Amino acid sequence: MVAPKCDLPQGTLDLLILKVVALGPVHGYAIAQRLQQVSRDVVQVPQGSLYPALHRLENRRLLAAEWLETETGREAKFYRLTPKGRNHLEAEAAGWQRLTEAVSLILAMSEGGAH
Amino acid sequence: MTWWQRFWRRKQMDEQLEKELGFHLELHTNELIAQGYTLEEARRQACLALGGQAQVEEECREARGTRWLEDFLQDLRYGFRTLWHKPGFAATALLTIALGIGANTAIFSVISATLLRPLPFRDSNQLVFLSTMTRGGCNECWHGKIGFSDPNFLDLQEQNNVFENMAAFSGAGFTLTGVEDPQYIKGGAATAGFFATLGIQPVLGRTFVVADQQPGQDHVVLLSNSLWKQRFGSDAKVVGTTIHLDTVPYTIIGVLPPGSDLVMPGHYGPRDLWVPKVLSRAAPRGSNHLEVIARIKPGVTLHQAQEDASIIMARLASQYPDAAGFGARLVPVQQELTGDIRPVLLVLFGAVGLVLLIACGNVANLQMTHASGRHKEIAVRTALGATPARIMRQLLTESLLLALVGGALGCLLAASGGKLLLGLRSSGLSSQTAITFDLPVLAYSLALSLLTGILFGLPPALQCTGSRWYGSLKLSGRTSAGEAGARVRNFLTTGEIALSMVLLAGAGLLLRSFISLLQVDPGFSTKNAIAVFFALPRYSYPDATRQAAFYRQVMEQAGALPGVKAAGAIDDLPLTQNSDSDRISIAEHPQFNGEKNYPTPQERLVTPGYFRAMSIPLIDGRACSDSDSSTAPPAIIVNQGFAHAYFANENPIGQRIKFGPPDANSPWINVVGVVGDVRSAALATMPAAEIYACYHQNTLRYNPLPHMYLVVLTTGSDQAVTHALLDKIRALDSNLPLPQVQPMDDIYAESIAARRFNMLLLSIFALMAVVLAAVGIYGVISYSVVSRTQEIGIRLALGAVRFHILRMILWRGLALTLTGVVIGMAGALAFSRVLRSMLYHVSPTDALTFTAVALLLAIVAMCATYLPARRATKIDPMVAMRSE
Repeated sequence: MVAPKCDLPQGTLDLLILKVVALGPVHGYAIAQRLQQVSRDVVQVPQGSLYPALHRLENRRLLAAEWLETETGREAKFYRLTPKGRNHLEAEAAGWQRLTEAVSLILAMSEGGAH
Repeated sequence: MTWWQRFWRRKQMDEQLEKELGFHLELHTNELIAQGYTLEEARRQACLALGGQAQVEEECREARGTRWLEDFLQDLRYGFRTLWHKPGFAATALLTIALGIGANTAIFSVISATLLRPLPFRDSNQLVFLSTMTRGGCNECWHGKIGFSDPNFLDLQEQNNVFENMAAFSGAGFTLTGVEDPQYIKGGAATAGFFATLGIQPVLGRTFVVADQQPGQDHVVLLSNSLWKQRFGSDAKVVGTTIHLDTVPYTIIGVLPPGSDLVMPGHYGPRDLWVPKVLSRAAPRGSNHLEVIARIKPGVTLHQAQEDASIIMARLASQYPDAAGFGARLVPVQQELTGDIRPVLLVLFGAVGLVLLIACGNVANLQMTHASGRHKEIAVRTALGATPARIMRQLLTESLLLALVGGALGCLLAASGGKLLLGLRSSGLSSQTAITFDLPVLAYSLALSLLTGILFGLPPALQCTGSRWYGSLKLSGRTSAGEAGARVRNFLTTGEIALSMVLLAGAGLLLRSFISLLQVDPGFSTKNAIAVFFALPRYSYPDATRQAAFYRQVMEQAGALPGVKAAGAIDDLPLTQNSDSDRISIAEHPQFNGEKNYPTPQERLVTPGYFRAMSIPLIDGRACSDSDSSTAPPAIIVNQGFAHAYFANENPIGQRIKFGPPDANSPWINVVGVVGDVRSAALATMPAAEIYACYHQNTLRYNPLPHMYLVVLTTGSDQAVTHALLDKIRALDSNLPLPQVQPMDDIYAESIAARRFNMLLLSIFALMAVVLAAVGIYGVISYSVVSRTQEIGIRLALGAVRFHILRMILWRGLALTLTGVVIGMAGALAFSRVLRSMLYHVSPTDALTFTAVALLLAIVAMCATYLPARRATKIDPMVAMRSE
């Protein structure tokens, strides 16, 4: 936990959640952990906003949820991606890609290159 | 899940949410324990990471998007509880709102049924009435204007380019014969295009075609739906059968659908059956008796149609001398049919609108008083994190709750009291118009309730939630919210008094009009007089001689009955809206006989006993007598108005007049008597010049004898005389449909029923307004006394005289009242101008009415102020100063 942490830019939490859920049905706690692990602890997922975001996505029918048993035999709410959610994810991911590429291009600009 | 389902299953969803978060915490705790934390520490860390379970749950609920509804329900429940615990406040507010909404709903139900609902005809906005206008005549006097002559109608029908369909119709009375009880039937005669113009399809058979209009082939009849039901038991095989009208056989060709009547109250009513109208090209162009209706072609405007009709009429006038001086006028059917009632309804609509505004002011006032006691509650809510918007929403929800419950009560009130509005029939509300509480009326009522709720809910809500809004009203920085609230309350109360002043002045003017109307001497007496209306069938009485003989017999028999003082007959009874007039010439005064300005007096046909039966004084000469037979020199009687107009400084007796222009081929008639003026058209209409012809020698240019009113003056035993008279008539002619009998008092009352009803209705609304305003000022003064208890206590303790305290409080009420009265005065002046057409012999700015009304309002307001003011003087200074 020594590496500096970044706050998530506005609106990216939904995108990240959709991406994690796209890998297969998963419950809330696992999503939080997965996000943290994959980003090598760089992305600080505010757990407090994870659940409202999940519920919002479910209401928008981008996610579907059902109660399933975990390996340990406990009941948990598992989220999975709906077809609508998948389309949304693809569109959002492409958009994000374009944006980051453009931002990197601008940042990579050499001094004086603008002239 | 839709938001509705999410809302519906919110309990279940809450449970699941708790479970979901619990699972999360448990996993996190277990993991932290595995990392070496103690159980307690692990739990604390997990909770910290999640950011507080309650808060997350709250945010998740927010994410459901049903929060507003949950809040609304919560507010609603809270509102119910608040109202439940303040039954006095709730009852007062609900009653006030119910009165306001009820009055509005009732009036709107009539407006919706008459002015808004389309007529039961296809594309009724394309339908127009056509009437002939006479140049220089009384074009705009009333609906009738005059009709069309046969040839003028036929020419207009052929030459116009603007009408898709055009048809003429007129009234036609029949007696249904060949049945056990002969029945007088109100029929109509119409040309072939009539039903096509209106867009009416028969339910059985067919309507008229052009061939039916040929003389000889016109003995076909269309039944109205109601006659079909009553007389023919809705028999589907009735088409093709024969009925007898005036003993002539007619073949039934069809049955009309229900509700397809063209009704103009006071002019033409629903018809029992229709026969074809046979038109003649040879008829004189000056004989204008056809009602004409037309459907404008799609895409043609009313203006274009009017132009075209005017051009054709001008061309006819130049072609034919006897068509000269006639123009055409188009009026949309809806406008024509509702022309009489429209202004009345709009005035009433305005009046109930004012009542509702006063009710709003009252409830707002009540709520503000009530809300002042809630400052603590609201302070606590704010401290607990409620935003001003949230609190405002809660207060508005309470107001809307009041408004909706009050509105529902109002609808019940209107539904039960709505029958009273049938009194509007006398003002020209068609008897065919059903006043129903249909969807538009209920929607209006609901919308009005919501609007009302917002209107009276906003001031108290704003007062409670923000000093920001009041900040703008503050005059000095030190003014507290309480004082600003008082200012708003004063404003509302002043407004209520001003609005009541407007309504009260309107009602006062109508009342004065009505009183002056009752004081009008109609020129005849209705006391102990009864009127009997005869409709002599043509088949039994085919000519004037036989008709006159019948009346002579009836009058002889009637005169001999015990209890009868006098009996006489006339063709057009005063106050029944029947009248005829004709051009005359005066032998000795050629200056009156010009082509543009000739006399057109009202003409009547009377029997000798008429003037005595009606107690119309004989001023000079003699009345008709039995010696005025058809062989005697023709005689005529004029009224004083006629005598003044044409024989101003000379003796009218012995003067000669004739019907038509001076060179007309009609005899000169001697004026033999002068009688007193009579209010013939209406009580409010000045007597016109009138002439009376004697019935045996009918000198009029038409024969009114088949339809006459017999007037019988009794010694007081109306009932006995009526029975005896009807027996005598039955003995004279057992086949005659029994005539209608009506006391003259009833005819008199009917003629002013519209004014009486409008006056009563407006008075009721004004009374409601005054009571509401009185309650309003009572509430405001009461509240100010309560909130000044301490101050008054201190004043008293310092030696103030109780009378001065009383004077101080009364002065406050008087200031509010006087301000309201003065503002209301200005409003009343504007309102009374709208009322002008409903007034009689009273100026819309009548000083007496305005003063009386202002005084009345001031007295009521002072009484309402006095009660709380007296309470202020009873304050015990010791108790008051200790009170908080």
